[in-house]
Amino acid sequence: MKKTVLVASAAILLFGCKKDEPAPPSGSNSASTSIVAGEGALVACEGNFQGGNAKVSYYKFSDGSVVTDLFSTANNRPLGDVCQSISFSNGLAYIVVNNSGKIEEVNPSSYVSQRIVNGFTSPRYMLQVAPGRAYVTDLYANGVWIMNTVNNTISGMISVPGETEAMEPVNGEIFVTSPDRDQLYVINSVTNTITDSITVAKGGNSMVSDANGKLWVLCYGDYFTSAPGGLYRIDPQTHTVEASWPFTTAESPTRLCCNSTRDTLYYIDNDIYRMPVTNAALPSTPFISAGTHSFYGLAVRPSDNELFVTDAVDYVQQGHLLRYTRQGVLTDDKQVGIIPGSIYFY
Amino acid sequence: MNRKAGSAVLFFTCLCACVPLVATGQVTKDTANAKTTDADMQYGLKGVIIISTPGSSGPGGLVVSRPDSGITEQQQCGTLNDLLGSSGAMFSKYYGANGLSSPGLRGSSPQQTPVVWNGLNLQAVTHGQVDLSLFPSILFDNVSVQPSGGSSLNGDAPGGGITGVSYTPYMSRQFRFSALAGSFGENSLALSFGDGKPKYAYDIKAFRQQAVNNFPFDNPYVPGNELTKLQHAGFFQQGAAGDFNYEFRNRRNLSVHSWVQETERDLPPTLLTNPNASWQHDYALRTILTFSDFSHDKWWYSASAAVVHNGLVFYDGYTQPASNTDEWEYVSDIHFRKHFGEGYFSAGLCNQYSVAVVTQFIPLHHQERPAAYLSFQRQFHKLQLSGSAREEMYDAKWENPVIRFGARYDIRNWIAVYGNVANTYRVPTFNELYWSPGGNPNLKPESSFGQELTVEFSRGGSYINGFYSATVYNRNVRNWILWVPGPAYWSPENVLAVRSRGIEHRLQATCKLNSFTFTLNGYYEFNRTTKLKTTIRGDSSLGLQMIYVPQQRISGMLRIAWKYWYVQYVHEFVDIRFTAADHSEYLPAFNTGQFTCGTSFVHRNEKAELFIRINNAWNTFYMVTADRPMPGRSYEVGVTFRFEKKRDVFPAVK
Repeated sequence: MKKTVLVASAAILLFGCKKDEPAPPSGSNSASTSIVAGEGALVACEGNFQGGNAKVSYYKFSDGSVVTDLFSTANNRPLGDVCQSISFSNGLAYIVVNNSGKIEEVNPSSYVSQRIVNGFTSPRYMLQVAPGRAYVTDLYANGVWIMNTVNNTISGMISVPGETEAMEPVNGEIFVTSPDRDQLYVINSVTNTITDSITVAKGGNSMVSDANGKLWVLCYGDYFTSAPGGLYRIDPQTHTVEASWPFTTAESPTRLCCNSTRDTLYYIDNDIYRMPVTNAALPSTPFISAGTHSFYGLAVRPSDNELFVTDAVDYVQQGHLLRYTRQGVLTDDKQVGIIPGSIYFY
Repeated sequence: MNRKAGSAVLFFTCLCACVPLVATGQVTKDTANAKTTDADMQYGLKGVIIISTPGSSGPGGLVVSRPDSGITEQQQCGTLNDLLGSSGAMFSKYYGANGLSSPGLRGSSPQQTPVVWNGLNLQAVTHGQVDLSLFPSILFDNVSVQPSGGSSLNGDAPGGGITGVSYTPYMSRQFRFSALAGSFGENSLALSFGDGKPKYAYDIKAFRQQAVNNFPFDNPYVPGNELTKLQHAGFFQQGAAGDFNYEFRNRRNLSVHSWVQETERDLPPTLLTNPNASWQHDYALRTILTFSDFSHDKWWYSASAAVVHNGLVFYDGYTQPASNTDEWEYVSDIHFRKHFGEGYFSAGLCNQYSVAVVTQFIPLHHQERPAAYLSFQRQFHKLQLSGSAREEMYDAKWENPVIRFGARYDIRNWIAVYGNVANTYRVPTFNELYWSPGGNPNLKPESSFGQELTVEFSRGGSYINGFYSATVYNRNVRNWILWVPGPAYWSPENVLAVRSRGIEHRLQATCKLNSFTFTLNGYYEFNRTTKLKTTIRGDSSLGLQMIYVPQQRISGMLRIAWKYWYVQYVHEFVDIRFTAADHSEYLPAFNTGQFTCGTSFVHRNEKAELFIRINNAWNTFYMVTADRPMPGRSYEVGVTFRFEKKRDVFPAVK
């Protein structure tokens, strides 16, 4: 009896003790990575909110190699919480780290940090509007920050009643979306004052200017009231809406961008849609179907109109950077950081 | 009036209201005769019931573990998070000092792990979680942890396990006062007093806890690991509870349990987030009224009603308005039991009606869940069999019945084998159903099927006694609910099938040698919780350990007592926890140690105890949740004064 008990106990002790180990890092994290302008794409990987795992990943066009985490490799510290966007000016790159309330100024070749600008509330995007001066939109600051890029300090704020998100410069004026308002604000970048506002749908998230000098604004609507979003064509001279295309309440379009000749628009609405600027209606069929992907970021490479798209999978594991030909054929798929969002060709 | 002043006024108002109103007694049934009491009773809405059986076995073949009694005494001024953490009874996902502490057993989610107080499930109907940091230890005279599901009387039965908590009756006049002061502005007070007379008994408890939590730590994210102090992490909570029991005719009893409390917390930033002024205010009122009739020899019945009001005000620290969560629950239960020979049969009906609203996010919604249940237990010489079944109506449909069957066989007086099989389910929370945007009213309840088998060796004796047990378990959960990104926003869906399996070892030994007493407790768990199926597009984490579930956990305690002195060491090892589903990121494993030494003075019915405790004695830098540092080495001094005079005022249990 005792023997049986001992054997049974030993079997229980040894039962199923197979242990998972951490996955080896995907891509390369070589400390000697040097970014050469024009040779690759940068991906702002947001990481999880309050997870502190924001990253900047780099994809090299020639061989498809990936560096998953440029910043921490170069600086021996994590980037921060939620990498929202990257901006380039004066030969430097500015990484906007949303939930850390800061902007990291880095050398765009080595990604070694030069300076940090603190004091933002929840910064989203940065735009150089004049030599030595940039605007920074913010989710919670009720305004647009004015940043001095010479000494990297916050020099002021343009008050806006609500969130501020995307910016687009047209003829010396800066158009700013406000996702929680149904307004598009116009700022005079010389006087730093709001000069006008244009009524659009709520959820304004991205803008582009087309070849005809028109401004296109994409809005995802209002999640709380289920008010639908829309696509708007605006005359930036008169500040009027020339045409609009409403979406349904079930749709949530984001990431408006255009091709190199600025005559074709692309956006994500679960799938990827393509629309010539001369179209009279929204496209009814997708250009690229999402299939097994969760499309999150989108950019068109200016040199050949190849599409670069990010897939956030389930938002708690590493995402993917997908490369499509201009005809929409998938040619490459590489793992990058968690929640890859904005894509930049530098 | 500022918040602190307002809190103080509310506290004393509630305390004054409680004293005459609640003057509580405990429940009427003595639990000493444990073997005839069933597991399911502790989860029905009625008085008492935590059973004292030797070893780690609970009734009906269920594994039930309890914190060490010495540690329980030392943690009178702490919270359930402190108590269960110090005793190694469970691992909770702790968001750092003063933060949310959500329990998880054998890889279950917090929503699958209820905490039960006197038969009342304390999970919020909105988010479905409990926060162990909000529950003062002083209010729980008897705490037990049941790692597996299987109670059919509990309604929203867990897929993962239960922490059962309950009062035990005081059959005495007693007074107890505990105070604790520690590093980083920590100070706590706990007070209880009660009395029992032939016709009635009551006790009243009150507590007040606060801490600044401005502890320093070597920030790994700053060059040179610069010493950084945690900011904006203050914590304050206070409350009172009372129990009253009145026997107004021959063994017919009326009892009331009531508990009111409020908590204010500043929410600290993570290591990499922007500092802000966010805070959270929690408040709760819970009351249970029970009538029991024990006047008959072969059967008894009880009828209970409970009202729960939970509130939460959250301010994100920016310009957004604070959100208010208000929820009310009304629970009723009628229970009948018939005894026969070496067993019993019982049946009951219960109903839970819930109402909740969250400003900006959930408009007023209500939910009604009536249920009927049956259970039995029978002893056949060395074999004990038990079972239960429950049928509940949810969303106007009858759910699949919940059935549990358990058995225990005492092979010899030193070895026993026991186990159980059970299916359980979890009803979606209000947040999951109605949150705007994203709530999914078409969610199905999660359902699970689990099995566990335990071999236990025990030894009793005047010099050495204790037990060792090994348990293997398996649980498959279907329709696991997860928030997943949709075209417009995140939405909960039934996306996963998850399997959790593992092995647990428990050891408890006490050895008396001359004036010395040695107590050794040990616990080891190996757990694999993995996704079996997923409907998430492109998910590459199938078959991998789920995030924030450690694969291995070891805890141990050694206490050496000599006359009125003791020294005690508690050690805990927690394995790595993956923070990314594809295992690309993880938190490192950590070891922590806790030293305590203390003494006591006894004079007639009075007893005074004094202890000094060193937490995180090895000054380990560790994080339980990503980017939320835990305190390094810290010190606490505690004192308890106790007066207790025994009385026999309650009727004996049947």
